[in-house]
Amino acid sequence: MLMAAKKRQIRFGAYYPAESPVHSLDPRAKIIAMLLFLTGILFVESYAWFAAVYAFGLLALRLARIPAGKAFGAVRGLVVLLIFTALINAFFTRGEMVLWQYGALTLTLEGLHRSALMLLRLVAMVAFSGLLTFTTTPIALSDALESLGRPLARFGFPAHEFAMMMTIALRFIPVLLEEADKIMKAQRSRGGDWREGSLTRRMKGIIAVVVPLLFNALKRADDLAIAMEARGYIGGKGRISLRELRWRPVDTAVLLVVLVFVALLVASRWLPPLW
Amino acid sequence: MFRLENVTYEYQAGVKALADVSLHIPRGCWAAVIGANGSGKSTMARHLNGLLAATSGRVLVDGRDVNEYANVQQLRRKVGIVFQNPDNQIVGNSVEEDVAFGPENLGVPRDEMRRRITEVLGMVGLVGREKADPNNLSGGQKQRLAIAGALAMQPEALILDEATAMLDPVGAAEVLEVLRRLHAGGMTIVMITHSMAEVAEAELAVVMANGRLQMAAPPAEIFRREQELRGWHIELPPVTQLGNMLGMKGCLSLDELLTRLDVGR
Repeated sequence: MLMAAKKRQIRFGAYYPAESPVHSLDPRAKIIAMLLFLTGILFVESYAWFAAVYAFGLLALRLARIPAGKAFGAVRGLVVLLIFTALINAFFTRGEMVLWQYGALTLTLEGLHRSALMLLRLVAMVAFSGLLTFTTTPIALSDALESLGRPLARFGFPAHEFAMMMTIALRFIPVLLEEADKIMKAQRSRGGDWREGSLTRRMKGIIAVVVPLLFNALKRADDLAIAMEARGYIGGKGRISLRELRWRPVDTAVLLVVLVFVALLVASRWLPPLW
Repeated sequence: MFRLENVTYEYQAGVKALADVSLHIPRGCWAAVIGANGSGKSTMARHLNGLLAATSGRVLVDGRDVNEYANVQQLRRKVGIVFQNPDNQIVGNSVEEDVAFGPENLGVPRDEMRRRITEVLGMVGLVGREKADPNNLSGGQKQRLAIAGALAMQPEALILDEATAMLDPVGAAEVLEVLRRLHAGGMTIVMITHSMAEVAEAELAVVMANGRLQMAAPPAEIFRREQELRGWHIELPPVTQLGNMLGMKGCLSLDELLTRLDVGR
């Protein structure tokens, strides 16, 4: 029963359920807007424009009813990478204003500046991509990707197949987790425990869990394929999905606003620096 | 509804899973197929909606050779199938999405899909669970969902391939109750089972052994032939065994045994 309790806590993807105007946008609009926004952020080279980016992003987070702390919490997983990037930028940027020197290490004002911009950029990209992933269920995401990829199907891009794989993966993750739990308990009851002992012993323990899990997963895949065939599945052709994506005027409006903002961000490169 | 004429199926050259099977299951009939593991039950069932194609012989569904169906979807629509493991046949991430899977494949319009979802969930007693995650359903509920998924294609016949084998007694009873209602509504049911109590529900019992059809007759008649059944590793339900010992052969239920004992007294 422990597993049943655990299972309910597991949430796939990062979806944060809430009623908000951002949640109810067409997922396709959100994907396109996010790609535009992330591209725009790459062009920003000044603190003033970063202030604009953060203001825009925070406003959007507020509209989406996502606590800013939750969005910025996603940065925690990348702390090591961020520090590393910041240090490299700080110490390996050549410049005139040398603040500190020790052997080959030189800290310049230009280095600090670049490092700060880089940090602002990475943090903004990570935190604000939550605007898409927190407000869109994995299923809606896969529907949107299928819909956006459809024009490419003509060139052999398997848009429908990817979406179907995603749907099935989401459906079976909990099933496989439960099964893994069962197998581990079975192994433990016979004295096998991958959490103890030498490295070789632990490796052997993991193999003893992974092999039956994989074996069963293949059996399930086989069963599922037959069951899908029995229910008339012949691929994406002629198929109508119960879930319908609806593009509303508000989606166009949101996209236009983002487009204008991103155009400004891109243009900012060639505008005289504000600060 | 179903007619098999000398059907043989070899899954590799020379190895026959089905050997010269001829059988007629009339429309609206509830048939139970029994036999030990490897007797050819499931193989036979999979011929009924074209999941397997006979090596030789003919399979007729609704009077037409399965090979004559213009497309395989027509046949799948006519004959629904529910498998043993409920977890391995649910595709959707919610109850309604799973029910919709078949109609989606057939290109049914969305309004009609919605209507069918409501209808079939009512038939299997899952109304109100439309948005539920299938992973949070009980075994019996999952299997009823699988039945709903098959019903949403509006089939004329339903095949159940050991659909109650993995369920606890409560879950199995729930599924049987649904089948009784469907049968009362005129659905043809072909149920592969190891449970003799379930066979007693059927009108026609089909006994398979070694890929061959051994007997096809009403359960009461088949249950009289205890010795033969033993030879095919089929055990009668306890109440039938008791009846047979007491000379009341072929009893299907306790009530029947008691009534016959009373009459005999």
